[in-house]
Amino acid sequence: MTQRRGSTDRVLCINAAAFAASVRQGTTLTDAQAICPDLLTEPQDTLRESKLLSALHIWADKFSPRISIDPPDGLVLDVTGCAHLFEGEREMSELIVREAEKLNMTARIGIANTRRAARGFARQGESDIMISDAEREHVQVDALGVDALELDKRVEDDLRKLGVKTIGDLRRFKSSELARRFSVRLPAALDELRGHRSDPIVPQAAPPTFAARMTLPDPIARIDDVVSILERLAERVCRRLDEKGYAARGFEMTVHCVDTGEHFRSIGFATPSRDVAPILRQFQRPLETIKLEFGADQFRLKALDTEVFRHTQLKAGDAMEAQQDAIDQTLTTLGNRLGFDRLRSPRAGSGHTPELETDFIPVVDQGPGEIANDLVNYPRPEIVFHPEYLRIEAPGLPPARFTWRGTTYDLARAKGRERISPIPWDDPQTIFEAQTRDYWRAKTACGRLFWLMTFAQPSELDWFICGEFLREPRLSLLRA
Amino acid sequence: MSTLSDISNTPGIILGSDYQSQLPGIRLDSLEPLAERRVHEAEGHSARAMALLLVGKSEALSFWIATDRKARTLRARALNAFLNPTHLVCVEVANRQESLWAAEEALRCRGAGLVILQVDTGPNLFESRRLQIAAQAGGTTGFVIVERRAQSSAAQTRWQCDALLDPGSDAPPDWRWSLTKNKQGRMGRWSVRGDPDPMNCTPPDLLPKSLEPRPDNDHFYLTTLPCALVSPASARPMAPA
Repeated sequence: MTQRRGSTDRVLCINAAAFAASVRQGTTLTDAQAICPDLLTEPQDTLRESKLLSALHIWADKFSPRISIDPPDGLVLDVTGCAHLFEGEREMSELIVREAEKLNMTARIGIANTRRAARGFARQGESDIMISDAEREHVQVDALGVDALELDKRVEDDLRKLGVKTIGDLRRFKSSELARRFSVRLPAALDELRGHRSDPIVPQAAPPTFAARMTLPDPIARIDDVVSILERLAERVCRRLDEKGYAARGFEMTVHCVDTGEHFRSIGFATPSRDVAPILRQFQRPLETIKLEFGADQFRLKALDTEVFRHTQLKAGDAMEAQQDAIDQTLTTLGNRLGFDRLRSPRAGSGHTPELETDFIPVVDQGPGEIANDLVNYPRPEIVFHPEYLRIEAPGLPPARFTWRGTTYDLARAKGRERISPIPWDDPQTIFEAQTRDYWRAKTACGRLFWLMTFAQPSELDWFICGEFLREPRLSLLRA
Repeated sequence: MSTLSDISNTPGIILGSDYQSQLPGIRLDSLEPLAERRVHEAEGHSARAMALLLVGKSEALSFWIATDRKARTLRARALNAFLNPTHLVCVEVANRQESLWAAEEALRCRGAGLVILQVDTGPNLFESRRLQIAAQAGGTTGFVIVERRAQSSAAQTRWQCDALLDPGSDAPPDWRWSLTKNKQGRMGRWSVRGDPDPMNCTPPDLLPKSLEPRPDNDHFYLTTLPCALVSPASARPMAPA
């Protein structure tokens, strides 16, 4: 397994055969291939790994009810009161390792009194299974490396520079000194590691999955048949959603074609749904895009983004409800075809520059968050676009005559300047955002009112048009 | 700026100033209302202002369909004077085909207020007829902003919306809107002023049918000066003012 860091690929993870061929972690991919020409590598896929980890989370549920995920590659099980069911901690660990081997996985297990110690044993222990002795635990903990503290890489490096390699080496320092030299996090982590301070695991229940699959003895190739299969799958998924009191914002359909493999199609909804009919309606188009030349034989429908379904009271009679339903349905249809990020609503933003003045927030699933923007006291135009260069026909401040998009405009009068400085702590996205700009309201002879812009330095050489007022701003709009 | 004396100089049958269309639809002050279940077209630079006013007036969720960057040009701060931004959904589409499809889909939505479609070239007879059918099916009103060239279409009305260079008076009108096509009802030309402050507007004798300010603290206030009323018999495009 390789990982791209900067511009080089490095070996992230190796199996026993590669280790035997003296490939080591951290070597560059080219070096590793030179050492072992037969090396098979694959780039890391973090998304698939995290999916695998959450699958293991569900799998590990049979050993303990209290489990939390320890990304990127660990699970923390609270086995208090569970071990005796498997006839002891050692037997339980061996069982887990055996079960994991059935899944083609190598497991390393550490059992200790505290979460951090167990994690350290699992990652640094000499054997695959390491169980602490109740009496000798502090000795074993002292032998662990400083990365058992789960601190920043920088702090660990600093500790190594001081000659501190193991937890035991830290005993030489007072915790107050450590706190002063590094941060209070270090003594706190040390206390949690030794069990002087409680560090409970936060169990996460695996999110319920709502999915249904169907495998056919012979492949089918007609789209109508696929739709009828989808209907049966949707009925099963929706029934389960209904039983558990959930609804889903999206569904994913997997169609396994005999010749071309798996195809994924997904849809979304403006409001959480658990009805069969809208699912069929929204899947109609995506399913048509799958080419079923030799047919498909495996189907799976999975609910995505499930949430607890809230029964809402009817607002003002059925007419209102039907209207809202119609709007939701339209938003859903538009969103599935165009993308939900393309349905947005303008809201006052959090900045004072023209770029940050307005946020476009997605209409579907929008939060209540509306930031009151009191930063701009000057009238701003209704229409603002990316600045476009003006061809200056006659000089002036602003230019007395200019050409924009093929039309020449004469200046009637202008008001300005409003100077806008760049935001010092922000990375500028464009050259316009990086500079101090002067804005002018320019009324043309034909009556259009443009928002013109020029750079303050070098002054008034280039002029840009960056917006248009739909009407003359009123004085009363100015805040006192 | 037009005055009432323009009326006598205008050719065609002159309708009384107390004429009010009985068509149901979105009504902007004394302007010819935009009939509901129909698709309307507007050309010119202030067509967007008219669209925003109509959205504010319809007070329901409205769709603004435009291509790519154009869908992101509206600015919330200035829009607040026109409408409640929660009522506006900007739909970003990739091309003309997609925008027509999205407009049709939105027009079919029962409960939507106004569907605004911003296109370069106006819909042709076939496309606008489809939009018309969708508007009838959904009971919605469509408003097509034509930015470059309009084609002959099945639109119910077509407006020419221009900006006005005010002559420096105290409360000059902002826009001149001419109704250049109307399938049902009168034609006309209006000078329109959108005023944030109802107490500070043009003299009352020029405002026979000014609206009461809306109760929901919306401080936008529209006054129109009806100037030229022409019968449909003399329907022809008017030269922009």
